[in-house]
Amino acid sequence: MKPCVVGIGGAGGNILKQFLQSQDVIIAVNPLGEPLAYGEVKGLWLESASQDAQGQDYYGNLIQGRYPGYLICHGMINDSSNTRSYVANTYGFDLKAPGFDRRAEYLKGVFEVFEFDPELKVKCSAEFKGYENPLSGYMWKEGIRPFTIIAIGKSTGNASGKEGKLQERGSRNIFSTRNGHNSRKLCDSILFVASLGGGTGTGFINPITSYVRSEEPIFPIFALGILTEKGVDKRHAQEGQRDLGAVIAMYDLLTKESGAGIDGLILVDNQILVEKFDRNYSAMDSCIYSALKPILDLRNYPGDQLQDDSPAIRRVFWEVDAADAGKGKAQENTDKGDMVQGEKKLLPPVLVPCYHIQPDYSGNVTTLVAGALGNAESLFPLGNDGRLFPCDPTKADRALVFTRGFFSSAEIRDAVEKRTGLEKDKIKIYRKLGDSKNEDMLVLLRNPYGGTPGEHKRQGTLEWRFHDIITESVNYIDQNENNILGFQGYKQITKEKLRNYIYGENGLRDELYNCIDRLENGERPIFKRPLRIFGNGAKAPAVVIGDPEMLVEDKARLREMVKAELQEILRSEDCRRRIRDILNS
Amino acid sequence: MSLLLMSLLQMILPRYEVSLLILIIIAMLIGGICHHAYLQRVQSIVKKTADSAFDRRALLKALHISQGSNFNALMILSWSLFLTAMTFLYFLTPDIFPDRNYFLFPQMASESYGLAVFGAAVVLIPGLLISLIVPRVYSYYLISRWLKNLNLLTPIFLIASLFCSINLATIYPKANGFIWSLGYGTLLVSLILLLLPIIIGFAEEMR
Repeated sequence: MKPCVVGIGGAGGNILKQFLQSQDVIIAVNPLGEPLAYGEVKGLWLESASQDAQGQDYYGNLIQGRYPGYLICHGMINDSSNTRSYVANTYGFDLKAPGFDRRAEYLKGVFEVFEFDPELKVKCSAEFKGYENPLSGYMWKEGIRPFTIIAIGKSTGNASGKEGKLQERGSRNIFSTRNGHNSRKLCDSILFVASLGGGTGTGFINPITSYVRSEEPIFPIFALGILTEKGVDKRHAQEGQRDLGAVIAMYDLLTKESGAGIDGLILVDNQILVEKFDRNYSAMDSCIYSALKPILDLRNYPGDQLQDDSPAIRRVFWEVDAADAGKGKAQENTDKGDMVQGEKKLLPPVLVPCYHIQPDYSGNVTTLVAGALGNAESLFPLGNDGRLFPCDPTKADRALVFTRGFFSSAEIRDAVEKRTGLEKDKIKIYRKLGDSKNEDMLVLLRNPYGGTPGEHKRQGTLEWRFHDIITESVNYIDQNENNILGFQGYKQITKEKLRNYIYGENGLRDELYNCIDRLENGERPIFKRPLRIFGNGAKAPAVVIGDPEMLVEDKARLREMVKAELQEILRSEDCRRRIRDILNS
Repeated sequence: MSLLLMSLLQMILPRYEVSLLILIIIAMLIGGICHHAYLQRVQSIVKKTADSAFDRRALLKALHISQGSNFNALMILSWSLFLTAMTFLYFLTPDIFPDRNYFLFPQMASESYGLAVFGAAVVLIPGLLISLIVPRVYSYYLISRWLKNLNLLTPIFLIASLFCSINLATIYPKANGFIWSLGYGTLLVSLILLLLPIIIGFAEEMR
């Protein structure tokens, strides 16, 4: 597997540095050839805050041909852009906002308006010569795509106007491969790395993935999401606010069907790393990188070279048991929202990385597995074993085991089977030769949750952690309506749409209550129904924007309408259930 | 008696500079043996744990890892410099091998660029082999960044050795034991640095 690692936002950029560490001799002047990172990965940093990008000296400007490079996501938009003015005047979003701090819904809205508003599409296409979205189109075509095998035979866009200039700038990159000359060196997949704290990282993965999927439905795209730690962070963002950002991001990532979104979400809980490394953030970043090294290692066992290329990994991520699909197991959901034209929806899996390293003389496969997955009795406290996200390994429906060292497949399979209880054919082994000093193991547990009601009360399970962040998010939504809807210069339409999205019937809050129910009942998946702020483009803004004068004149009628609406809500089963819950509590 | 023994030893043993050359050759042979043994050892371990049969070529393909263009260029340069430095130290003046040395070609020796031509001639044929073999040999080892960066010192040591040899050629027929020893010392240290990735790889595999 040779991914193009895309670090998004501040945390993504810091972790990406680990991935891009040069494995070559460091020569200060005129290095020869291409930079060499572990596993020959390539990467770039996407950032929205220009000041952050300029205030560091590790990354250079990708557009100026520097590597490792950063790309400012709104670098294509001029200050005097018509599209920018239109979006600002109509919706109150700033396309050149210097950083999108801890508001996942802000970036979600920014991207959705380009799909929602036909007039904006026309304006954008005219100004940016074919780009219907100047953010995701730019990041994909100028930033990510040139590092991947799908760049072969593709230019950065039309050879005219603004795109012509962009193409010229892009071609100055030091990688000859960016012009498609050497496919062997190009990446066969994308790995997004971002913190799920509600900022740039949280907001960008989804829209870029959607954009890529419009061109490449089966190109492997994976995401590594880092859940931020508990408590107040360095920027004084409350836990609830960050949890809401994480939940919105995960919700959107995990409700897009196969071919429409990512192929798998690898989750890491910073809370575990904080406890392990006492808030030493560079050590935490290094730990995440080390944990993924067995996937990136290119030294497969002889004859196994093709087993872990990205398409093969992608296929295993999506693999469904024929028997399970037919029977409809208890833990798998079969309600209406989970079916598409009579067929079961395939939603991307959650993957929990569990990693352990030991000197080659100090143990065997069993101790490696125990180090990675922990002992059966001790799910809590966290941080005592190699699980990087809380989970019960026995709940996983697949285990992908990457090892570096000299082990036989049979002994690895036996040890993992013993700990997880998985059938042998559900344990996929990927062996690398590794080095001779240490041996290590990364186990990616697929969907390690569900099946048993009440697991959310058991500390150290995935249900417990998800229940915690979803509850925090719901509390934040309930207690911070003014903070959420009254943000900066949102226009009326945006406020209305956001209100509907979050507080409306079947909106985010309702859906999160359903998620809590599913967690408590041991159902999977947790997130099911895709939610959008700006709908599907059926309504143009002119129709939606209300006239304030008219509202004043028709106050009485409006009051009646609201009253009728409220009565209907109060009569609904969902509302009754909530009232019952409140009374019971 | 002791004088007799000394003179007998002098007759049997080559002069100490030649002994030191033998030491260098032995070190190179040890490097080659380590490399071979490393591959054998890896093959035997992998054979025990592999799911299917494989041949040596498949193992070499599996072991191959890119070390980086800078590192490869550095090693090709270093090995070429090493050959040149060793030849200069032993064959530039008639001190050690009176029958085989640079001074036997007076026309070239009196040219302004005679030394450069001599050096180029030394490097030409082995250099081609070096550029083919050296990157491949190192590609079978996991070499730490620390060790790679340590090898940046190799060309510096080798250039120092070359300067010593050139100095000896310039002052010839006078001789300077210290300069020669310095030239040899830097040559030996360079060889150790060049072989270190192989020796460490082998030692770790044998542990």
